[in-house]
Amino acid sequence: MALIDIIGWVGKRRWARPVGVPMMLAARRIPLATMVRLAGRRICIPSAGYSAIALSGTSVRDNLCDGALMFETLAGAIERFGLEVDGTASDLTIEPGACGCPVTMPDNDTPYVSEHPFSTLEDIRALQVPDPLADPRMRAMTETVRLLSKRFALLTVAGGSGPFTLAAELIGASEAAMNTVMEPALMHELLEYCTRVCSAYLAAIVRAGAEVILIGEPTAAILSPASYKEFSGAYTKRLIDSIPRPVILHICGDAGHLLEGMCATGAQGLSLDAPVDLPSVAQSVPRDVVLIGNLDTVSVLLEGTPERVRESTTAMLESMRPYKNYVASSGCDLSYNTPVENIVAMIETVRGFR
Amino acid sequence: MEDDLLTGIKAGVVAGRLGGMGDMTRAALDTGVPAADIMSLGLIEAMSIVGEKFEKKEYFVPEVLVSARAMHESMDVLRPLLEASGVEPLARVTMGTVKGDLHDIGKDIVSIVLTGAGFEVQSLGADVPSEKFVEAAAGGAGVVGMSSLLTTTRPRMAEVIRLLEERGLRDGVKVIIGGAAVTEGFANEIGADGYGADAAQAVRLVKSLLGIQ
Repeated sequence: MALIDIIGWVGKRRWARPVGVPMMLAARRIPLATMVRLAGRRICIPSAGYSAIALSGTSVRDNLCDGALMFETLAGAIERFGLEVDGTASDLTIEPGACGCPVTMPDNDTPYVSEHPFSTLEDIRALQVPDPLADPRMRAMTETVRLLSKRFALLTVAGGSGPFTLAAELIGASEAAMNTVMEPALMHELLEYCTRVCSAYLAAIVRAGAEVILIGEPTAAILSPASYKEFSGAYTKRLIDSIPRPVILHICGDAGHLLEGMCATGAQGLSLDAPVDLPSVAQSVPRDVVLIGNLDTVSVLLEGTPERVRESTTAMLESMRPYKNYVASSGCDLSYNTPVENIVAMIETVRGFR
Repeated sequence: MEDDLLTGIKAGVVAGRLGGMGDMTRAALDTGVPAADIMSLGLIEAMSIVGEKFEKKEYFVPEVLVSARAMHESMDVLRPLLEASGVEPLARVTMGTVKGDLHDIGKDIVSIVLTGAGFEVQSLGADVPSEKFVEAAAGGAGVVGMSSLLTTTRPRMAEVIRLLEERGLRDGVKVIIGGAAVTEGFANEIGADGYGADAAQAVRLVKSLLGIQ
């Protein structure tokens, strides 16, 4: 039995909390890469929050608005899949919603920001940093984290938006992109504000008991390496410096060109999507940074058969065999419609791989 | 002098110089450069260079969007003249992100690169009701392009194809799809004419579907 199996076994049992809780407190002093190296086998983070909701029979909207319900949903998935790392369903509309953007919440789909009402410097200067204890959806998410860490002594992963992604929601993604060229001063002022918002929210998530923070910065994938450093990386670094827990930075899509800048943020883990060829980037990533990824969420996990998932997972694990600083995962959040047997196939393949 | 103005317009679009493109275009027209030449030798060539730079990763999304805005400053001056003269583009392409999906940038980049390749692109925006795509096909679009970034919205693409069939419009239009939520396999499954993984592929796809070299 690998160490990670023991941690998972202890962490899920209520009566073992007197052992599990000190174990998690001790883990806080260990860097993520060391934890991964000591695990004894590959760890799997399926990013299956939305699939957990589908399994629960409750709606996405209800889960994202009700912290206790989301906890029940995730607890069900932890048992069902036997997870050793628990994570919340990611929702990058929480911060923009709290800042004043209208958010559309379909019953069973990812919510989205339906309008980007801010554009001028005056608009930006009038924005207030939302209080995570007062905003209902920030409170729901922190409540989920609090309940998870009270019930399970596992590595609870939770998080929120990166600064550039939040900025893009506030003013619109195309505007944010163009403003990096046309109005850099306005962008910097906006990003200062966004960094304060992210920092306050993530601090509340940490206080609620999260062991690992996940920063989702998908919109930064559209930037050049130089613009990434200036408009996302520099602010992400400040954000990470303010968080007393290991941080995983996730960028969707083809973020291979941003790797150097992502490493410079101080993130202890980099979560990369399917378009990035992990084995080829692994050589240029420092060994104390954990690479996380990157099974294709659409062509393999959504459209594939369990057999196909097993083959692709094994191929991915084989290709990353030389690297100890690696955690197996899907490239991005799993779609709500992902077949359960495919998720099970991925998790079991990782667990059985030696 | 005329060449200088055309070169200036082209360079202005490639560099994304905003604010003066309209005046430069009017100056070129005043010296007798035909609107169609400004369009093809200035703007389309410029956008084709922008597309190449994007493919070579010299330009990224922000630079491409700014160049496109510079092109539109010039286009706004040219459009009434081009419409009056009845110059025909290679083909008309209608692009949009399907209903329920607000991701704009990917299909905008494809639209821009298609414009650089000489196509007239009509953008329907994001969150487009299926009926709008059908109307575009009925209105004479040769190609309908749909984007989806959320796997939960991609059934809309099949719906558009079904509606096109029901209205008897399917044979007269090529349907192409793209976006992170779809694959080649999905394109085949719903009976689309093709799938493009990125902007460069989309241009090659449209050209091959329409038999253009």
